[in-house]
Amino acid sequence: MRAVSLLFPKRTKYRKMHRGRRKGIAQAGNEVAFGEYGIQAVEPGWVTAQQIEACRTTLVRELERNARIWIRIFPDKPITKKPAETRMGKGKGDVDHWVAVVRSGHIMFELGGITREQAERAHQLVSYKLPIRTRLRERLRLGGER
Amino acid sequence: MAYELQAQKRERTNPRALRRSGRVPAVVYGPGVHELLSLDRKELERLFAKITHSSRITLKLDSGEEYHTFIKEIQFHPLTDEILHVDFYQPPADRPVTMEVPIHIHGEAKGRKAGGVVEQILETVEVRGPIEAIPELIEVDLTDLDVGQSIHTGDLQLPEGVELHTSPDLVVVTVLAPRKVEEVAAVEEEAAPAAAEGGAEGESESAPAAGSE
Repeated sequence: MRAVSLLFPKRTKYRKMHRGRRKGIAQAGNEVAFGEYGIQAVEPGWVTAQQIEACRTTLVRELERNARIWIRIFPDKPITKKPAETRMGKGKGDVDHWVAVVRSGHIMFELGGITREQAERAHQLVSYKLPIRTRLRERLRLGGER
Repeated sequence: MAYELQAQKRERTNPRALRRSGRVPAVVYGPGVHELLSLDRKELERLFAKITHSSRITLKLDSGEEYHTFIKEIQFHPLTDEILHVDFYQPPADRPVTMEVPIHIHGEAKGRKAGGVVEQILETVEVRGPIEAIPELIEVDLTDLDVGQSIHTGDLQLPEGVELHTSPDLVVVTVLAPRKVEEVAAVEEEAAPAAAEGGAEGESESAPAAGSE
């Protein structure tokens, strides 16, 4: 079986968190800053560590050696769950998994050193692994800079 | 080359209403200048299709006034890519200016043919010179660049009268050695026991961080 190394914080100040809200659009991380192309969320959602890892694996396999990949989200929000068949009460459940809170407009992954066609293909494959709608975004350049 | 753009003065009206009517709010400022403007969106989009961030733009107002400006900032909507607002800066005409000039790479690097990855580290470089000498674009030819080699800011060809206003040692573009697929697999297998522990405990101190690359 292939091992997976999941992302989560090394240490946290508090063990459990409220659910929070995901209104509005991303005020930071909404521009392609490192690579040529970015995979942008067009709706808000929680992206789990497993989903991020699945996307990373997909990108590494699809693009193999001729690309650079940046992951710009990190699952730092603990999500709790009560065990199955448990009566209500007795406090909040245990931490089950970790998610990254993604607002509309957030650039989640960036890709560099590849062609537009390769980026489109990679985006298509990654979009299958994510719970939210995404789009491929190019780095912002004016016409004379292309 | 200086480009021209028609502009109108605007009062402190609601910018959203302005955008709905097909215009874009803008501002021009500089020593002794501060004016709120509005621009035609279609004309602005046509202009943006041919200029760079360091192009000189002459704003012509209906009243006959002219401003010789550079773009300071463009705000786009993160989701719709609509132009939300433009800042123009009119520098003092008699003094040199410091500007960020975009870098454009062209040519296929020797190292890329050998399997390397071309990475552009710097998108713009800060230069200083007289207004009319500031280039629109700095071209960088990659043809002779091999794996492991880089082009630094000090190697850039600048027009006469323009000097570099940053360290000459910064890497502009480099060709990285190809990544080995086997290495990635090995890292994943190493992380296996740690990941299993982390998953069981929920919050392990020994968090296995998956490499971003």
